[in-house]
Amino acid sequence: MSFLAILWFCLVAFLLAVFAVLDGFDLGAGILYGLEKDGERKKRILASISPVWSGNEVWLLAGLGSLLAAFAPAYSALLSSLYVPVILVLMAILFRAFGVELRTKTDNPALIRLFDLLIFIGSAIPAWGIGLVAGNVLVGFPLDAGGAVQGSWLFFLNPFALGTSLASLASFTLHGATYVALKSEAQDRAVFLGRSMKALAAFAALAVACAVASPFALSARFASSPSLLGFWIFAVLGLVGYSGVFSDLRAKRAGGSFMASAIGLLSIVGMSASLLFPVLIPSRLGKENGITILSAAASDKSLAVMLVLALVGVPLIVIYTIIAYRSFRGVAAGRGEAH
Amino acid sequence: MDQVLLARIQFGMTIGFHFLFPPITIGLAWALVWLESRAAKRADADVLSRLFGKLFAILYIVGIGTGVVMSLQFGTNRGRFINFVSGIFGPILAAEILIPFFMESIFFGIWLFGRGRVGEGLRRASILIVALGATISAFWITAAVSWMQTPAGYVLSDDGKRAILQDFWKAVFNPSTLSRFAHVMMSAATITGFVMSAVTAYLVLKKKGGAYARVVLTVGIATAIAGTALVAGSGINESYRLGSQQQEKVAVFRGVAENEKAEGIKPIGPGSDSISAASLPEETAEYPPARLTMGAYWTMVSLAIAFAVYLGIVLLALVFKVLPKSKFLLWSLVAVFPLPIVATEAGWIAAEVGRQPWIVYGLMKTQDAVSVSVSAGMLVFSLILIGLVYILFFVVSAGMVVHELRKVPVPPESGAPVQGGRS
Repeated sequence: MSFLAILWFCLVAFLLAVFAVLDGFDLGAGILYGLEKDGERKKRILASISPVWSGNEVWLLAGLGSLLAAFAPAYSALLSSLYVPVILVLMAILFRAFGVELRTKTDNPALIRLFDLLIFIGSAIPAWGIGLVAGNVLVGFPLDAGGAVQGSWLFFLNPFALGTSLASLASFTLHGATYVALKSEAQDRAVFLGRSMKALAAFAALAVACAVASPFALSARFASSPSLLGFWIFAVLGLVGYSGVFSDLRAKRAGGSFMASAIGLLSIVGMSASLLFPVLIPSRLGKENGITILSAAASDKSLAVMLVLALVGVPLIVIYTIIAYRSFRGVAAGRGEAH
Repeated sequence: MDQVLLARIQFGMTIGFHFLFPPITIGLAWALVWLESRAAKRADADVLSRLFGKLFAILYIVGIGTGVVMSLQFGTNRGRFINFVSGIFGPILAAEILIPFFMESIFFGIWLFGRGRVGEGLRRASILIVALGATISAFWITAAVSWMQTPAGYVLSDDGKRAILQDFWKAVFNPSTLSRFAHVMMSAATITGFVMSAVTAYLVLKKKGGAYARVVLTVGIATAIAGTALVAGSGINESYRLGSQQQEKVAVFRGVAENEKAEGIKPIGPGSDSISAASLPEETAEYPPARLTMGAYWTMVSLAIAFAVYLGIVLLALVFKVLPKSKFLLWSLVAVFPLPIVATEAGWIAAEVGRQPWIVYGLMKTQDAVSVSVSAGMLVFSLILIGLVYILFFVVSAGMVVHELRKVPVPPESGAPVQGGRS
């Protein structure tokens, strides 16, 4: 296990964490958009995410692309073993892209209803599915020595992963609600702070349930992880983050609650990565069938070339992202109209 | 049906659908860089830049979305292939995602939603960055697919299950990358020229879009003519390259493979000098499916010849100033725009089906590329689901494009400035 391979493990985790924080609020806002009855408020929710969501979604591609590039066997095992849910999430992501971008380009009521539905499905299914995938990775796939799934293809519907899927749905909804609150004017802000509190309550209940189940469902991870210290550091950080969300929501501070929720999401990704390391996809059918950094890493040459590309690319991306957020800073216009 | 065939149908369908869009949007992005710079000066140019902007946005979204599907399908459907090529594809895809793709995605958002919310300078810079990003992206993707045709810069792992990167730039600039990139870009220019001409010919027919519609029509025709000439040139260059690098494919294009044993059959066309029955690879050589490969190849070539003849007539009509009055020619311009797209798809089929039975030429067979753990049933499910979603996207986006065209206002009588200024 080379230093470069470990560095790439951290980079993949980092890119996915940034995705959770950035696209997480778009997904949550999309869910709130679908549930919102008030037409004007609906427009303002959409206007708050429409200029920035596509740049945010690219972080998922960057994270998965890095997994492909650095640890291809883990990438193919992840996506092919969970084929059906992955295809569903993928189609949902397309729905959202299509819905968000074209919603404001038409005044045909039937198309507007279609796009509204696409935005809602396209936000809720990924928010749920990402938690399902993550829960299953933590529990491990039923992989045999040849890397094929043994037994039912429905293995992903296990109780722990269903729990994490609902928790992730709630956490993204919370994150989106704090973001929309931040981008709203006073009257709406109170409404969305209230919704954030409800989402936080749902998330807290689900997170406690997952935490209670984890010593049983994830016993193999806890038994073998060499980085449990990292796990506990992130766990404490996560607790601090979500306590911060609670106190900021009580104090009606939208910005603070959004930042605290971002810390919470980062911590969840950090906890998962620490618990997995140095395994990428564990197998339920014996430790030796799991896909590890050692067994999956590309050659040091490939990893080094990609590191150079990342060192050039990531600072540029940070600059573009800052330009984009500065351009659309402040309260969302509510027009959301392009041309 | 077996899993390998289903996986190939799905991959072919998703990439074939995806490939309808990027050639149009790459070209339209550059057209918008030009149109938006004119829009500040002329109100009728502004009407057209808004119209093309909307068409671009609709097509771009479908192109990006269906492109995302492609990168995930490497994992879902092509597991063993991606394990084999990741040492090469990894760095190339990293170069594509981390630099141009992020760039275009972020600035597309600024351009699309920035009107009236960001400065006009930033908005105009954004569309330039989108055009640059899309072009650079196309380069990296072409480099990756070209590597599958003419692999270079790698060594095989000891077990033969992975290609290990040895020289990044040799892999990127493998023997076919530049030749193929030139050909792809020129076909994009041809398609864009035809699309611009079709849209503006329609506007001229409906007396919409003002005087500037005729300017864009002329530019569109000029682009189509230049594109067709260059696509033919780069295509001839491609066939010389193939003649030395992938003889089985050329043999099938020319119909030599079937007549391998027959005496006196002379292959025709450029690049065929180097190909004759005698010089073909040994009998162990495996040939791509002849009918599909050859049919696609000759569809592309015949369409290119037809474009040259047709554009010659259009050019004459333009020079002698009869084009704006000839309803027949204008309607024909509206009608023919799908043909260069058909030609490009046919060229892509000829190139990629012509590579069969290899997925990486000479190194890995397509039948060995599929994922373990994905059953025929799952593939049928995904094939139907993706097919339905794509049909929905196609119908809705085509409907919206037509709607946008119908909505363009009829300008007031000549002399008065055209309405539709900036909001």
